[in-house]
Amino acid sequence: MTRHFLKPAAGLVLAAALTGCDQQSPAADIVGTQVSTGFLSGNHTYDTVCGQCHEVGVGPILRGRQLPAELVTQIARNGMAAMPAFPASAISDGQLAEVAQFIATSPAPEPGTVPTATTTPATVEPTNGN
Amino acid sequence: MATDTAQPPAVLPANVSAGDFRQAMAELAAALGDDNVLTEAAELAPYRKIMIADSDDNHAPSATVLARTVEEVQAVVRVCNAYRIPLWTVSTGKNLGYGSAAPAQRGQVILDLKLMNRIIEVDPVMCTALVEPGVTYQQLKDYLVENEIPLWLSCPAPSAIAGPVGNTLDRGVGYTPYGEHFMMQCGMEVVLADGDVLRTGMGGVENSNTWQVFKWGYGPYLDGIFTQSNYGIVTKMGFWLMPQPPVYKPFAIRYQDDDDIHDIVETLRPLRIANVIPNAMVFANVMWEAAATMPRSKYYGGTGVTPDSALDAIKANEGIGAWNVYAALYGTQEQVDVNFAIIQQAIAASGKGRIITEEEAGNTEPFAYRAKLMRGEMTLQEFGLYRWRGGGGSMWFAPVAAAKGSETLAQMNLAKEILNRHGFDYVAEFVVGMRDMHHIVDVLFNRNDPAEMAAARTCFEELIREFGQRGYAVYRVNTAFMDQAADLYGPVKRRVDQALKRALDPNGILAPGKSGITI
Repeated sequence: MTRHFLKPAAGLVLAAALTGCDQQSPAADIVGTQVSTGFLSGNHTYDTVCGQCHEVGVGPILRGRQLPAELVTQIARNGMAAMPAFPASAISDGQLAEVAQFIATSPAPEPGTVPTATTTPATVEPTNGN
Repeated sequence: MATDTAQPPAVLPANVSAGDFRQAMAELAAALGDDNVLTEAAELAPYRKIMIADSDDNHAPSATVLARTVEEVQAVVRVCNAYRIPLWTVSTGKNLGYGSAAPAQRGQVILDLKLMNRIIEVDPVMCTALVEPGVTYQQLKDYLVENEIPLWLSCPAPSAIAGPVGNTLDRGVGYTPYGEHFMMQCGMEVVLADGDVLRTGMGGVENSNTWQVFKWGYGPYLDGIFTQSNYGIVTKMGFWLMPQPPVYKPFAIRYQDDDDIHDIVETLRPLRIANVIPNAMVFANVMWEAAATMPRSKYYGGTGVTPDSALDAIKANEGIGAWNVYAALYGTQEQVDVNFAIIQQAIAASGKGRIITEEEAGNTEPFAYRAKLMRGEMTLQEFGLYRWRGGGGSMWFAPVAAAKGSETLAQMNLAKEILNRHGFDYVAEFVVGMRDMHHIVDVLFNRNDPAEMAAARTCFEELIREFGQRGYAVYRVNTAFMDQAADLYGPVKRRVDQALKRALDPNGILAPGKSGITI
């Protein structure tokens, strides 16, 4: 089996010849894919980043609240309390606008589909021994 | 980039004039492009967000520069050498609770490598990867899934938004059998302060195909000096990935009493050393479990230390133990069955603890997120810790402990006494290494309350000092306490660190102060 080099994804493909280095470049044939920020679309970003907190009961539910896109953008860039800040290198202005628009216009999740701090039920009660 | 030269820069690096700073920024803009030199307040705001008990102003950057290639990193160090501009390099900048993306010292210029986000190679035969610093675990996970490559990652709790290069270089840990991340690292490319590019291990050998499979190379092994240090800028890193096992069996063991931590360690250490339990298992206390899954207000609406009565109620109502072990088995059905039987026998013989399987726990928390972490899946469930008290304050206190029951008991009692005296909860877990345990305590506080900020800072200083007096030192610390932590390791270590710094970075431009190291 051959080594698994990357296929082009959403970003531009670089033939990353490292010949510009001052030193010898022993692996100068390395190729790879540059995904501009690693995020692809508003929906995808929401699912893979925002949703990791805001769809599991850790952060507040965002969908269905008609949060102004400007507010979402401002909080994403500056952070707020436990919410980390995301600079333009992590998500470009255009991509953030897409996410903010997605949040602003998404309907509320169906009741019961977003957990709110569920825990292992008390019926699983620890006892000594096994 | 700001073009207004009439106004002095709001923040300057130490010992750099406004004129030199402007000239350096202009030269960096010429090398990187105007859009990749950030000096406006709004552009720098995301880099100022910290969670530690220190003023934001003490960690305010003067600028951020973004490099996309090795050549651009070389150009940055050339300019910064010429003007003695200090650089603070970040990869994904999500070292939350350790300083986030903000620099150690006010005025340092952040070199943000997030745009260097190429997954350069994944070798499904040798089970290796070579990536750039901006690659996140989520990005790599997506790639493996999309390309149906049956390899697993090992990631820390902030998985989705953090990345393997930054986490490994700060010697972070995960929860799979590959959880000691630096142990699984293999080969680096490093831009040195003089602009030379070093490839470690086998990477300097012409036509070599062993860069990501043999760690040691020839002569002095160098990779270690580029972790938790400021001797170079790592622009590529290789590491090993775990083959997806045919069977994965996560399980928990619940214990009733705080002092059971002694017997937990004594019972499970032999199984870890013998590799019956192969992963970096975790012993999490009741407060950690509760904090990850619910706000404190569910059981306690007051301030200060959470009372024992609330913890007793949590244990009774939520099915959470005083200590909660999470471990997993990986392999064929036969292997898993044999090892699980050994574990069952050991727990039964100890007379304490109740094993809970995935079938019993179902999709409930915190079992579900722990099961994800132990197979390298993305989850940010543990960010729930930050809402326990609210206010966005978090500092990880992380002393190393020998995997002995007496040691863990002593550390638990000492940490709890100091934290409680300052009004903070003991929110703790032990992550079990090969012979050691990382005792991880999240000092949680309200950054909006000046009194809590001050108390948290005093408390953290005392934790480091009191633990240090008993021979316990942290393995990693946030940017406000690096000098104090470095002192614990003795004057000779500090002198050697400095000698290396002076040899490799004579102008001291790379992350001055990192791990207490300066020229």
